[in-house]
Amino acid sequence: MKKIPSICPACGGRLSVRRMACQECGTEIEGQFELPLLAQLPIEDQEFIVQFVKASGSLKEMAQLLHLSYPTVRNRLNDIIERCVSLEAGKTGEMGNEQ
Amino acid sequence: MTQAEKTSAPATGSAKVWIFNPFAFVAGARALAVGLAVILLAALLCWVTNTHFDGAIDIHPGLSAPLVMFVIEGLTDWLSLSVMLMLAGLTVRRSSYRVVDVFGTQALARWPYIITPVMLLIVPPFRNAFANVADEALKAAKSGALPNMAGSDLVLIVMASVVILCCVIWGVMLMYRAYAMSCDTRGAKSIVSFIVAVIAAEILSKVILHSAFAHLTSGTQAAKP
Repeated sequence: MKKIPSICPACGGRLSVRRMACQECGTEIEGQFELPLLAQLPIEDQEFIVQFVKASGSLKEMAQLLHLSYPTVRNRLNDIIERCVSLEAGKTGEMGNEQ
Repeated sequence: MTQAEKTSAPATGSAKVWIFNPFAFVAGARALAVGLAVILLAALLCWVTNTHFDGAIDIHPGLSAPLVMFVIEGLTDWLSLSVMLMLAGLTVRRSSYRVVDVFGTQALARWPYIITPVMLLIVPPFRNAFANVADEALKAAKSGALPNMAGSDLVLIVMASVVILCCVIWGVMLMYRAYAMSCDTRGAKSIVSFIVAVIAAEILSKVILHSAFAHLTSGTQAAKP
């Protein structure tokens, strides 16, 4: 199955889900479904998070697993945290604008 | 390719990364061990070639001195810069950092400095030129006359100085990368805080080394660099 893109290849904007389908009966639902926060992150970040969870949140173990130094892995995690905060802030901003 | 391999950012086989940013792969205690070995080996080579690291980022071929002076120079330069960068990192860091990463990566970042004593060791004309000029300068200082330096010595010194300058630029670049990596600093704040820390470390190391040399040479006739 293809991976979900989170960024528009044409303009770089955030993508949302317009149509979903049941794999059992084929029923399709159309609407405006927002991607979960983690799914909005780049694929590399999602893979990093999966590895991080598998490593029980140990940066040392992650560093060994990825053959990188501890600060490199910690800085990468800081980057992802900043992206998550930024995405959350964007979402809050959109909700504020709607109200 | 496993998922773990896919998630790793820089390629471990890239020589460019190893030359310009080895801290992507090595930090902490391992960097500290290698870095300390480099500092001690450099002190030994500096003793043989009369090369002084008489400041946090300084390299100066000079006069002979006891081995312990060269060891003190290497350790003082490393410690003064690491302490200043650690303090600078507190003001601009994005998250908490490990002290061992700061000290370890700074020790490893000094490795290009070893090129100068190695160059002077394997190219005797360079070493002799610096020795001749130092002798002439000493004689001139004692007699009050202008130093009489050979043109060939000056040409050799200019050639060697270009290599030494490249080593300093490479070393300082690695020191900045080590700082940015270990303290997780970014942007203009990172560069400004690094420059301030280097200036402070330069002053601190000069003061410490001056005191150390004064103490060590007080009972001997050994010359200061």
